[in-house]
Amino acid sequence: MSVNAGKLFALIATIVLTCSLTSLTLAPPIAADTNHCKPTGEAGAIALPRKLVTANRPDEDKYTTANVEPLSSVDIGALGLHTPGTLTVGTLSQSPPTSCVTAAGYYTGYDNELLRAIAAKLGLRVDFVGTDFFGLLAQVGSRRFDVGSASFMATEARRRTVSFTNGYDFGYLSLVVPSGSLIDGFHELAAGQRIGVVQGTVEEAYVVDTLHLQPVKFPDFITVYTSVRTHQIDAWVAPAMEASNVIRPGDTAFIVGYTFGVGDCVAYPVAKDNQPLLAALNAGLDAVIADGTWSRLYTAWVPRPLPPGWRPGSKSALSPDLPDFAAIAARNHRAIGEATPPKSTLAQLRDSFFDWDLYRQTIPVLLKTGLPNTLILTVSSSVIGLAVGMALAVAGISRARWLRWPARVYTDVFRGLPEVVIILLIGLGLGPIVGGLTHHNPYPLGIAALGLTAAAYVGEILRSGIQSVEPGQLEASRALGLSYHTAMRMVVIPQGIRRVLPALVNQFIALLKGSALVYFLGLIAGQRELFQVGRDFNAQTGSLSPLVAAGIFYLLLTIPLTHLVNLIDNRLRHGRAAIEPENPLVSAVARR
Amino acid sequence: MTDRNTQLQSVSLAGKDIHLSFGRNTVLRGVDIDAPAGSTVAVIGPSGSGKSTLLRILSRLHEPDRGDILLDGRSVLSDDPNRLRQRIGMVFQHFNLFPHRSVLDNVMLAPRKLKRLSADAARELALAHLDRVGMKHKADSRPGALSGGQQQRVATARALAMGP
Repeated sequence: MSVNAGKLFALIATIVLTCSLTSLTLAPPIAADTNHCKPTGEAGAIALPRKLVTANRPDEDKYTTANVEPLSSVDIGALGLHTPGTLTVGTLSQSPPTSCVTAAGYYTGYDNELLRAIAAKLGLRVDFVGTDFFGLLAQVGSRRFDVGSASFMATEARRRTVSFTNGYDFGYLSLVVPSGSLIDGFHELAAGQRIGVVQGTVEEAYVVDTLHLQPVKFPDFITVYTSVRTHQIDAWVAPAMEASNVIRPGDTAFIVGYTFGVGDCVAYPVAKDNQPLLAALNAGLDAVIADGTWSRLYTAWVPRPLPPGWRPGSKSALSPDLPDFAAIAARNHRAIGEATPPKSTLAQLRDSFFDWDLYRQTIPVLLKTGLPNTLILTVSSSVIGLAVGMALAVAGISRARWLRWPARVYTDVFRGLPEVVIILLIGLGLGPIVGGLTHHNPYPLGIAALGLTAAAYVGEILRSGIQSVEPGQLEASRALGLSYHTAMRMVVIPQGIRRVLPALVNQFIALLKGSALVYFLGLIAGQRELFQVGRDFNAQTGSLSPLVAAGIFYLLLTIPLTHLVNLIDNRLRHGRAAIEPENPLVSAVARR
Repeated sequence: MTDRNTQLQSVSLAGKDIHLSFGRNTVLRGVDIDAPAGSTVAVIGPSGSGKSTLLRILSRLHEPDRGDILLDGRSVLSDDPNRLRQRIGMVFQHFNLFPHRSVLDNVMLAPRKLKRLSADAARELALAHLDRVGMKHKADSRPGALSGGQQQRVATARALAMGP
């Protein structure tokens, strides 16, 4: 069997190598500039829409502080950070230009770079963790993250859960519609249309509370944008900066209108009772405004004129010095939603699925980061699954009711819930409780959630296997004088496991695929598994090629396993003597 | 038999007034059986008349509702059943060899686990018993590869290896 495992490993290695080589040789000579996650600089300046006015009128603003404490009086030991000296920041990997991750796993974007500068003023290190928008605010509220950095509008509703720093940006909304759409403004949105928003955003609040319509909710910007482009929804109510950044010339989607942001300004959220951190961040923000860093980053990432009456920082912060973006935009003839001839369907398909240059970028990261993490997640959770599952199986066939019942209940609960629910409940629910133990790292919790879910299935598989062993086997062992436990351990259970090996390998395959769900918990760059790596590249570029590449990796892992199942099954059927179960993945990892 | 390992002692085995019912189905109603030391006793009867059940009771795989089991004239009902079974060998109708272990392992398992013999001592004992039933040459085979008669001989060696 070790020979077989070796062969399988060699097969995988060969295919991976062939794929990477093919993608290298097939790469087109001119690589398309597909990276959203980098600053455009002044050249990318856009003008404000004519009708935009700011909602943040100084006389009505009761949140922006009048001034800030001096930097020198900030005591970084008293900021209530869960890792002293380090700012743990929850951010998004896929909403450029405000927050995104580079191919190398470096978190950047306007919001994140500004936060880095502020932290530097305060003498703090910064740790970025990518997560999903809809759970981010709750995780800031529960102090899993010290700060959120995701272009949050500081709305009244959100101020009930968290506190916000002074504003560092402003927001307004765009309406994005697919080409050929008859909708040409917010006033034309009506019931019966499929209007996309990102879940938990101000856009969602705007559609629900102001327009009184029911939107279609998406987990992130790139999914909703892809849906607009492919006509699966009629319109996307989007934050203007993200929309203008993600739509590329030739894309079959256009920005048709604007409305006012329903929030006051864009600010960093911190936990509600963490006044010292709030004061320190406000002091840092005013400091980076004063030394010109704010203007530099603003110009680099989100160049557009400030709306009248709005400026960043506290009320006593200096007015930033910015180039005349409206004039630059006029010179460059760059208005949002400028129409260019659409690409042919074939060209679109090629860009979506077969962008060789992207394969070349993605595959090394998939190999170096994604593959090891997927394997670690899968193998460690299957160890938990097997151990707990075995205990469940033995308890489930025990004659003692107090053993049988808990096993039954456990199996019913964990088998009856969707995996994603268990992962979110364990990861986000237990996270704050066991935070001291795990150092607020969701990775072990993800492994635990996957393993505990698998245990319910593994327990049932093992139980059915053990129960399928003829009662005569137990009787014969007992007749020899072996005790019940020895007889089970030496005779019945080993036979039961052999019978269900194929089902166990199938469960392992399910676990391998299920490991993708861990991304819901927010992973730092080095922890990303195959799916998240593919997803991040997909988000930066809008192309589906990185996801296809990730999919190929999954297939390279699962198809040999499927054949291993058939092999074991055949051997069991034909009663070949020596069956030494060995998992090619486990042995591949062990060989590292 | 000169080999000490395979030497067996004669004992007498008797069951007195044994009753057993499974729920409402009464299987045994006051059965007496007496096997004097050194004798061979055959129990005959139609299918389903309770022959196997009687044997299971004698090795206490079932507990009788009433009655007594005497080994060398002494009641064993209050003994630890696991200890008792080590003294009573049993070969089943379907032999019930352990299919996942070799013939040798089948015979070695109980002496090794219960008599706490070393691996070498258990192997020697097992090979001696297999030799006695003419199955030593199949020691490394799996039970599945044996004919019915061969399996029966291995099951006999397995039962005898505990020195009942």
